[in-house]
Parts: sequence; structure tokens; C-alpha cells
Amino acid sequence: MIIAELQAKKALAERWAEAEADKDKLEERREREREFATCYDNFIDLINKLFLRQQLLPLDLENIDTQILQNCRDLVKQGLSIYQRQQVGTKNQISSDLAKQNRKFSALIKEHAEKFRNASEVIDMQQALEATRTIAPGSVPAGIFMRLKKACDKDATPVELQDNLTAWQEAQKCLANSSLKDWQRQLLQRITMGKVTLFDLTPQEMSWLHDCGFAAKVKLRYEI
Amino acid sequence: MNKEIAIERLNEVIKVDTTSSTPADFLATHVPFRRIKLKHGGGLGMDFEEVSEEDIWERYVRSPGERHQFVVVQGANGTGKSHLIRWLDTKFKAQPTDGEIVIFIRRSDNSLKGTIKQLLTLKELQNLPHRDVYERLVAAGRPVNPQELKNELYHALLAKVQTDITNGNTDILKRNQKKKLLSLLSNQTFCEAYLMKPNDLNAPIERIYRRVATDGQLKGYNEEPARFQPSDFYLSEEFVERLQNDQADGKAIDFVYELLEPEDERPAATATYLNQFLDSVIQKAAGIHPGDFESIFAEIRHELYLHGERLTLLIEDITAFTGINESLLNVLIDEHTGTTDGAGSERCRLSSVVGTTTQFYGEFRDNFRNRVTEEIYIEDTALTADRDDALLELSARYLNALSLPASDLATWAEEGALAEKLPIHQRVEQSYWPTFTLPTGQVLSLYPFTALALRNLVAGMREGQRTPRYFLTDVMRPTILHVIKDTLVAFPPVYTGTKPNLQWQNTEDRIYIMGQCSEEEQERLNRFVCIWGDGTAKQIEQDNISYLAGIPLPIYQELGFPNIHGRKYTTANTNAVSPLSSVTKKVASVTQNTAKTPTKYDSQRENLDKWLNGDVLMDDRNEIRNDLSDFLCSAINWQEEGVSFDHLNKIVGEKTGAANRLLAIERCSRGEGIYQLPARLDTYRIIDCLLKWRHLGQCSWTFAGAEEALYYATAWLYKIKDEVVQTVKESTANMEGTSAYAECALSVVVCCHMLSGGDATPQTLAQTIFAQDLSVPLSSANNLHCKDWNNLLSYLNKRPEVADAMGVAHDYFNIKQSRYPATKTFFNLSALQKSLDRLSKHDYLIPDAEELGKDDSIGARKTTLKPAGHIAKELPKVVAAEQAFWQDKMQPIIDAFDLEAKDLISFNANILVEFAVALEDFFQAMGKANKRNCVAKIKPQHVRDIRNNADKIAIAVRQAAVALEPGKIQVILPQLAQASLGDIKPLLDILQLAEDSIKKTVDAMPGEPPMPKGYVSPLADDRDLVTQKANCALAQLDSLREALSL
Repeated sequence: MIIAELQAKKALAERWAEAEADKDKLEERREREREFATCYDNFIDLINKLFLRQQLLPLDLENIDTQILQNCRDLVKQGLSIYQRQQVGTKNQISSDLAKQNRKFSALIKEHAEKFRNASEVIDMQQALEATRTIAPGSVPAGIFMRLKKACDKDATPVELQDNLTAWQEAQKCLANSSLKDWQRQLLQRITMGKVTLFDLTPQEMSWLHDCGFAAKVKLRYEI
Repeated sequence: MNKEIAIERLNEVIKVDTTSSTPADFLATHVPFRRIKLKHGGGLGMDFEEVSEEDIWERYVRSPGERHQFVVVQGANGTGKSHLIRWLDTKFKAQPTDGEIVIFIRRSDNSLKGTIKQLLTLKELQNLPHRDVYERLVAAGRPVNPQELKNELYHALLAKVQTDITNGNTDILKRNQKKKLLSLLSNQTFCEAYLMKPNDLNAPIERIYRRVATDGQLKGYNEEPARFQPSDFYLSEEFVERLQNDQADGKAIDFVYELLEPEDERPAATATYLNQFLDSVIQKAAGIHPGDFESIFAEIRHELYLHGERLTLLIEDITAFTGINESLLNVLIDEHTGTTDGAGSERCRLSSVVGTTTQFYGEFRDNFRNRVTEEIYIEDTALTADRDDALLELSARYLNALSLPASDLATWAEEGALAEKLPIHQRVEQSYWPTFTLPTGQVLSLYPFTALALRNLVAGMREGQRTPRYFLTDVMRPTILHVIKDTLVAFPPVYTGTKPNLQWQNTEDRIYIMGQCSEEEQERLNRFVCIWGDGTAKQIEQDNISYLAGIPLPIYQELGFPNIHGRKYTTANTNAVSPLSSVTKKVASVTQNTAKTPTKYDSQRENLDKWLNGDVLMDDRNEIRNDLSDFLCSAINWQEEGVSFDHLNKIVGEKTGAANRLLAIERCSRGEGIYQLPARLDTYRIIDCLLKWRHLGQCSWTFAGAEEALYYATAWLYKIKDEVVQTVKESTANMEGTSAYAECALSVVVCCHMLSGGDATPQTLAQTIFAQDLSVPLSSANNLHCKDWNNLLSYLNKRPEVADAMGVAHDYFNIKQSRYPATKTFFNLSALQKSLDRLSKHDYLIPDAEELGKDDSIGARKTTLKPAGHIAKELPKVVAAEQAFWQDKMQPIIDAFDLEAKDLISFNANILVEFAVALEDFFQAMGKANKRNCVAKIKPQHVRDIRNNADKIAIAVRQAAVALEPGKIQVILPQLAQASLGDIKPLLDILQLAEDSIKKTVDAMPGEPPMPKGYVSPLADDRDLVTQKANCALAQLDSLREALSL
């Protein structure tokens, strides 16, 4: 395709022109390239964070769409090319583009941390873990409650986010391995949250609480 | 005539060789020779005496006493030489003379050996003492296988030529010519095809053989002398090819070429050369040594002398002695007294009467001629014009003999053959038929002839053949045969051996008589009235019998003619025409008109009259034909009959100036035409009408009798119109009613139109042709089309026939008010549309165009065929070549924009704009990078032109793409013509420049710009790690996009 070839040759020519222009301003060039490296590194990092956060809790579609992602993709590739060529010309806008995108991503992460903090899924998980721990104290890993909340921090690092994700998986595993059936856990969760009185219990629930010895613990709980 | 007897007797009585008939028939049919020319001595003098046959008998034959005689009877073939000699023999037998032995040597033993045998049968020679001579004679007469004898003749001839080449005794041919001739004579192909052609009685060796053979099985009569003739060496070009194919000797082929030379005397010289050897060749083949014959005769004469006898030798035909001519003549001139040798005085007297043709007598050497004592010349025969009674007597005698049983005549002959007692047959025909009265008073019937018929039939015989023999074979025999086969309704027969004058005394009479007879009978009646009668319409009454043209009317009825009547004449106002009277001089009516000065009409009318009577119609200025043609052209509504004026004009040569080919007249001095008017009465009359129109009415129908003439012309026109129109239509190949030449013109025109880019749908084409919006596409010198395309355009521009075709395509379908140029066009649209529809099924091509006019005699109709044929042949090739040409041109576009060929159909202008922008950007960037030299050839203006003309270029590309699609010529051709390489060429040029520039860029900028010396980019440190992370980020982004899209 001759058009693509022409465009490629045009870009190459431009780089040659810029290289020529930078010939006597190497410091400026170095600074420019360093700035690019920082922005690009940051950009990659933010993408990583967003990816992990999306795993934890879907991002808000109002702030990110496929077009943004495509632009980001182009930026990543463009950045890679720059890394390959090791040249950032004076007229190259990629650093500012990256900075702009980074700001957008930082805001997005901040919003996501806020959303994560109030996310019902997260709260439900914590309550379920707590109900499980109430009935079977040794079945819930220690410290998991803290780990499940790391994404609430807007500055959480990818490692922390990854740990949060791991904790989430462990929590799900914990609930899955519990002897409690879902309705039993939910019953306990409701009791724990103080949303259930004896009058609300069905004969079946009453029977289960009684037969399995849980009634005493519930009572105890009531007593507390 | 007694037909039953005649059937039996015809072949007995009418014999070619009269001497072979029975004595009774011979005497019954003999008509005395009354005027024979006689000359004393055989020199060249012309002092002839006129004598009768009785004078000859009495003075020279009956009793010559001791007078030695050598009498030569000469005359043309068939004049009666043999007849006279046989009559002399008959007289001898009737009145024998003591001491005179008469030997009659017949032509029926027409060969050397036969003659010798005949001599040996004489009782006077039975006791001839010299037995060795007899033995040799018998040996000469031994039966020889025919083919063996022919081979002997042939090889003897070859040996003679071979010997002559060695010895060089003759000088008619040069030595090298003799060698070539020998080679030809030796050639097997020549031998089989000419010299000894099987089953050809006239082959030279066969001819010679038939004169010398005595096997008695030869049939037919052959008067050709046993000699080579020039015509034996008239060879053909095909024969040369045969010789070459047979790989014949080069000398033989050379000689044939020399024989083929026009106006060369070589055939005659060759014949003369070979004839020199014939005598000795025949002698050798016949086993006779030179001098044998003379010694045998000397012995015979001596023996007769001893017996006190004298010898009279009646030789019917001396040409029978071919091969020993010289020896025989030596014998005949050898007198019994005065010889030097002792034996000479003991020979008997010899009187010889020898028949020979004038031609052969001419070959007598002078020393023989000088020894001829009397020369009898039979010139004046029974058929000579001023001896009418002899002709009638001859005919009457033969007709009588035919109707009599042979026994009756035999009895008469035995009883002395007295003339007054000649048996006369009983007439069975009507008494109206004429008779002839013999000097004895006996009346013989002339049925089925009249005196006029006999005279006219003899007058029609070829000069030199007006002899009794030819009369009997060419007139008498066919007429009798016709009658005895009872085919009187077709009487009289059509003769091949005589061409009697069929001229009427005047045309009015002819018209008058023929008008009463159906067309089928006219020719027979014409023959009968002109040959049997006097060629008039005169009807007279005589002795209560009506005569028409001198023939009694009942005879017409007997012969099955319709009831016809002539113009009434009384015996008072005309000379009575007797059936036996001399022919009325037909020139009388002509001489009567000499008093007044003949007008142009008169002379033309005379010309016309002569034509009707068998002469050639003189029309050297084509006036008659043109008048007839104009009459037909103007009187027939040709267009209504489906013949366009354009077609008609081409036939009559209206615009082309060519000869008028509409009509031909039988026996006309000039002109060929597609419709032939026969030499018949109705043609005569229409021509007469038009002669009057031209000469009496000064090209108008205003003359006395014009109404009648116009009426006749109109009636004639309606009679022949359909046939003429049909002939015109069928005179050229046509396609469902449209002439082939017009279809070819349409083909040429439409193809030109398509080559100009014009639409080829039949509907629009009709409009185009109607509007005469036609032109030949101009050929151009630039290379916007392939070579074949340009060649075809060049042909079309150069050939005048193409321009003609433009005119024909329009004019042929134009319904005009007259044949002459008109300004308005009224189109026969349905015919045109039909032709176009038909042609469109074949892409408007007519592959066999040139074949269609192969046999057409009208040149103007051929002009369109050639270009049509050429186009049909070339156009498919041109289209294929042009498509290949365009494919070649389009390939850079396909490659540059990464397209498939099919994508060109939807080629968009946007891509060109994008290309132009990219090119401009590239151009500028290269400038900034100080690499302008790489793009030096790209002019910004050219790039701008691409951008500005993007739509136009895209259209041209799409047009070309359509033309490259497979399909019918009529679809592709206009597209190819419309596709403008001129529009596309700037794009092709700039693409080429762009690619060149890109290639140069590679050299100028082999890769990324090099790092400044000593500079290490911060990006170099963790390049690999970043690359890894970046790749991971790309994967994450993809995952994110996927997750978001769910």
C-alpha cells in the first residue's frame, strides 16, 4: 500500500529532521526522553492497576470505553517504538499525551477506590466471612478482612491490589469450603446484623438452629 | 414412305462408305455425275474440261488398249470419288473386256495388309512361279496381336529418332530438340496419355495402326491419315504438372514447355519431323522390306503379260497404302515399255484409276505428279446449289430405296438394272407431300422432305462438307430416324450437322404466325416454316389446296401444329408459291425498302429483325439495354417489392458509373446482366416498342401507335415483373430479405461506432444511423491504445470502402421518393431494426462476409464485404489485445493501492485524495530532512492535479475495469473505446515517480537516524523491561476492552 509506505517514510524523514535539529542540544533531548520514560512507565503502571481493579470490581463505564482503550493501545505501541528508536523529538507530543492520559487514569483509580469502599459485594463478603467466623471461628484466614479492603486505598500499589485480589479468591474459597449452606449463612448473617427476631424465623430455621446446637450460640449472641 | 421397311433398311442403304452397300442399293441410289472436271497430265495447270461419268468411262477406262494410264480421281472427303470408281468397276463387271483384268481395291480393306491380301486372292496370280515372293507376302499378312503391332510401331519410331540424333540426317529439329523429343516420346506418362492413349481411336499410334492392321475387327470409319498432326502435340499445363509429379526426365519437361509456347510452330514441326520416318516405320512393323511391293508387282505384271492379259487397277483410296506410298506410286507410274532393264519389256500394260483426297494428292512429289496421265477432279456434287434436280433425285432415290425390300432391288439389279424398270415403292403418306419425277418419268416421293427443306438443309451444311456423304449422315439419316420413330409432333428435328437459315422474310410475318402458336411450339414451327417453307406468312389457294409458306396446310395438321393461318394472298396478286419451286429470295423485302433513306429507327429495326432471325443484336452503345433497364427501373415499384433503390442503383451502376448489369439480351453484342431476356418474339416486341419510344417519339410515348406500344410494354412488364424482381433479389446473397452487402455495411458501421465508444444496443443504433451520426474513428499516433487497435483504425481510415459502407447503411434502408439523391430520409425502420437485431446476436460481425460475394458479378455490391470480413476477422483479436493492454496498464494501480482486480470496479476517488495528501506530506517531510533530491521528480503541481482530478481519474479507472470484464464484444468494445488512458496516465506517472522516490529514500535513509556521537539515551537502560511491561499492558488493555464490551 503506497499510502502507508509514504506515511512511514514521511515519519522517518521527520525523525531524521528532528535528530538533526537535536544534534547540538543533547541535554534537552536527554531530559525529554527521561520525561517520556517516566510518563510511559507511569502509564504502564496505571494500566496494570486498572486491570487489577477491574478484576476486583468493574470499572465505571462512564469514564472508560473501547475508544479510550484503543487510544491507550496506540500510545503503548507508539511508546514501544520510541523505546526501540530511543529518540523523542522536540515535536513529539507523546509525553504530554501520556501525562494527560495518566491524569485521567489517576482520577479513574481514585473513583474506583471510593466505589470499592462502598461496594455491597465487598461488604457482603465481609459479613459472610464474619458470620462464618461466628459459627466456625477457625475456618476464616487471619487478616483477611484487612487484605480485602486494600483497594479502598487510591494509592494501592499493584502488589497490594494483587493481594486484595488473592484475598478475595481466598475468601470465596473459604465460604465455599464452609459446612454452612447458603441459606444457613445468610440466616446467621441476618441474625448477626440484627435484622432477625425469633418471630421472624420459620419453623425450619428454628428447627435447624435448635438441632445443630446453633440456637444456643444465637441466643448467646442475643445476650451479648 | 414405308416405315416398317425403312426401319430395317436404313443402315443398309445409308452407309458412310457407299462402296460397301450392295450392288442393287448402289445402283438404285446412284445419281450420275454429269459435270466432272478433267485435266490432262498431273501438273499445276488449271485447264479443266467438263465431262460426264459416261465420258470418263468411254474415253479412259473402258478400253485404253496398250496405253499406260495413271488416272488420279481427287476431291474432298465425301464428294463421291469412291462412288465413281465403284461405278466404273460395276460398269466393267457389266461389260467385261477380253484380255483386261480389273482389280478393285476397296476401302473396306482399308489397310496395307488388307490390300496385299486382296491382291493374293486373284486367280491370275495363283500360278505365280516365285513362291518366295508369295511367302513373304503371306508373312506380311500374318495375323498380329494388335497391341504387339502398336508396340512395334512405337519402338520402330523411337529407334528412328534415336538413329537420326546420331546421324543427323534431318534438319527440321535441332539436335538438342531431337534429344528432348526422344525423351518425351520415351516417357511412360506421355505414352499413356497421348501417344498410345488406350481406347482413343485418334491417338497417333492407334491412328497409324488402324491403317496397317488387317485383323478385320476394326470398326468405324476413320479418314484421318496415318500421320502425326500438330494437334497431337497440343499439350496442357496440367500435363506438365503430371510429368513433374512423376519425376519425368527434365528434357521431356523442357520439350513440353517448348510445345506450350504460344504462337510457336513447334507442334507442327514435331509432327512433320516424325512423319518423315513413318513410311519406314510402318514397313518395318508390317514385315515388308523396302522394294518388296515393287518387285511383287513386277512379278504380277510379268505373269499377266505371259498370260496375254492387261491390268486395270481401280484403287478406291490411295491413302490406304500409307507406309508403302512411295513404292506403290513407283509401281503405278512404271510403264510397260521403255524401261532399261530386260524384264521391263515383259510386263503387262497397267491402267490405274486411283482415288485420293485433295489433301493427300497435295503431298505427291512432283515426279509422281508429272507421271499422272489424267487428273479427275470431283468438285461439283449433287448438292451444289445450281443443281437442284440432282439433289432432289439423290434424295428421292435414297428415300425410294429405303422403302423397298432389298429383294425387290436385287431382282431388278440381276435383271440388268434398267433405269426405266426401277421399282417404285407404294406411297402411304398424304398426297400433299411433294414428289420428284425421274427422267424416265417415274415419280418418287420426297416425304418427309420438301424441295425447300432439302435445299435449306444442304445450304446450312458447313463449307467443305456439302457432299453426299455428309448429306446422308447429317441430314437424311437424322430426318428419317425422326420420322420412323413416329415423333412427328416434334418434327422437324434439331440438326447438329447443318445449321439452316431460320430467317423469315420479314418480322411482321413471323410475329403474325408465331402469335397463333403457344410459346412451347414456336421454336418447332419456326424451324418448319423457315426450313421446309419459304419463311413467310403467305397463304395462297391453289388447286383447292391452301398453302402456308409454300407448304400445304394439311401437312401442318399432320405434324400436330395448331390451326394456323397466314396472310391471305390470291394467285393474282402474288407469285404462286409451289412446294417445288425454288426458294423465294428472302432479300426481296429488304431490297424493296432501299428506295427511302433509312431512319435511325429503321436501321435499329433491321438490326432487331436480324437478331430475331439468328444474328447478333448490335448494341455497342448499350442504348437498347439501357432503355430496357430504365423502363424496368421506372415502371416497377422496387421498394414496394422489397428491393431498395440503393440495391437497384448498384445493379444498374447509377452512382458507381459501372456497367449496367440489370439485363442481358441473348445473342447481344454487348452486356452481361443478371436477368437474361431470351431471343424470342416477346423480347423483340418490347425492344421494338422502346425503339419507337426513343426514335419515333424522341424519348416519349408520342408517336403513331404509341398507345398500342405502351399497352404492350405494360403487359410485358406485368408478365415478367415478378421474375425480374425475384432474380434481382436472388442475384446476391441475402439474409432474411436484406442483401448481404447491406448487412455487411451495417456491420462495418456499427463496429466503427463501437470503436468510437458508441453504444451498441440495436435501438440506439437505429437512431444513430437515421441521424447519419456516423463516423470512422480517427486513428491517433499516441499510444493510448494497443498496436492492434491502432492498426485496425488505420485500416478503417484508409479504406474507401468503409466510407462507402457509411453511405450504404443509411441509403439502403432509406425509403426514397425516387432513385435519385434526396434530402429527406424516410427510414424503413422495421427492416433496419430486424437487421440490427440479427447482427447483434453475432456481435455485429459477419465472419463469412467475403465468401458471400464470391460469385457476385456486381462489383458495387462487393465493396462492403471486404471491410466487413476484415473487421470480423480482426476485431475479436483487437479486443483481446486491447484488454491485455489495459490489464498491463492497470496493474500498477492494483499493486500500489493493494487491490484485487475486481476492486477496480468500485475504485473510489477518496483513495486518490488520501494518496495525494500522503505524497504531499512525504514530499514536505523529505524537504525538511534535507532529502529533497529523493523527490526531485515529483512536482507539487502534479500531485495537486491528482487530488483535483481524483473523480475523473477514478471514473476512468472504473470504466477500464468494466472493459476488462469478460463478456460480449458489443459490451466490451465501447467500454474499451471510452476508457481514457489519457485520464489515467497522470496517476500512472505519479505512482511510478512515488515508487521511485520511495526506493531512493531507502538509500538516503537506510534506517532510524543515527545516535549523536557520545550520546546514550535514557531509554536505552531498561528497554527490555519496558518492552516486556508494555507488551503486558497491551494484553491487559485487550482484556479490559473485552471485559468492558461484555
